[in-house]
Amino acid sequence: MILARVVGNVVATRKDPRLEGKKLLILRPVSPEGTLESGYVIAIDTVGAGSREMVIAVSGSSARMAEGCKDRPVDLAIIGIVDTVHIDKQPPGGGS
Amino acid sequence: MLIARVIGEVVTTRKHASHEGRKALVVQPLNLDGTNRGDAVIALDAVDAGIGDRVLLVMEGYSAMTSVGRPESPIDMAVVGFIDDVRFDDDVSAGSSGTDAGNLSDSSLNRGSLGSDGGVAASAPADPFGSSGELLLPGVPVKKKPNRKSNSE
Amino acid sequence: MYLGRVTGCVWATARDENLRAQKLLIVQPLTPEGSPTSKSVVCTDCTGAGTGELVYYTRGKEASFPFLPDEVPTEATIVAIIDSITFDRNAGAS
Repeated sequence: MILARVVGNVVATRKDPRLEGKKLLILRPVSPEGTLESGYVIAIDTVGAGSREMVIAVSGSSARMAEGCKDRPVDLAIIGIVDTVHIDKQPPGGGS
Repeated sequence: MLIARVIGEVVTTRKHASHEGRKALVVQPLNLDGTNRGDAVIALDAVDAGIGDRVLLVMEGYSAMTSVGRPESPIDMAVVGFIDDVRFDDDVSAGSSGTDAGNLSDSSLNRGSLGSDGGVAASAPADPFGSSGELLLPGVPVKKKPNRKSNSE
Repeated sequence: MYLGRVTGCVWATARDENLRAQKLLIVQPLTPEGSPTSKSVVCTDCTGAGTGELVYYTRGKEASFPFLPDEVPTEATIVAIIDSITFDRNAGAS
């Protein structure tokens, strides 16, 4: 899965009927520290993500296992909204 | 899924049966600023798209093959929708150059000035999020745990 | 699917049993303009394509579908031979 930030949405009135009823959001990948990385993807929203929220998205055929996506032509689905990110900063070599 | 532009079509006589009856389009995936993202690909058409249309491109097998009504077929990409509008959540302060940062209209994805090498269109807006990748949006709390002493002794 | 040109074929006597019946072709991926995009790939084929022909190929699990019920271990299969290609990079100009 990837960590990403919702940066916008796409409006598409003429589309595969199985895409009706769900928002198509523009995501930019982010590092665990929260910095935006290059590139973008369009994902279907299954959790009600809002603008600028940090989310978790799953890609590939697994995206169809997201809620309500079983028969939809989706290759990327938002499956969680991130509350906090914990990063362990261990010293190299595990020394004291 | 990606945003893409239909730039052409291929004609094929000898092909797998599952590709019969559907247009095979030459499609150029795009970045958010309208420039080319990678190389052009071939996608089957599920929505009767034409050259010049801005479309939604799906790049996963099941999605693609079921969109064109051909399950269990060797189809890995399909055009599944027309893009009417691309909207950004534009509350970034002063970081953009002010050119269409908030709403990527069709004119911003206008490829009229692009050469065949895919150079940058003169009308493409600046990336509203900063090319250095610095965080320009309100952050999710990031908790970093301090270095820990080994507690095995 | 990806555009490419068949540039040759591969002979491999020792091969996976499920690959035995397959002709293996070398395909150079191309842009619509004809420039190479990345390294050549080895593809299985379900169209009878020959050297020099412009083709497009499918990648991933879908590449094995033309050969079902045989389970051919392939990740790239030529699925069409291109007679002609029309494109315009400036399409979409208002």
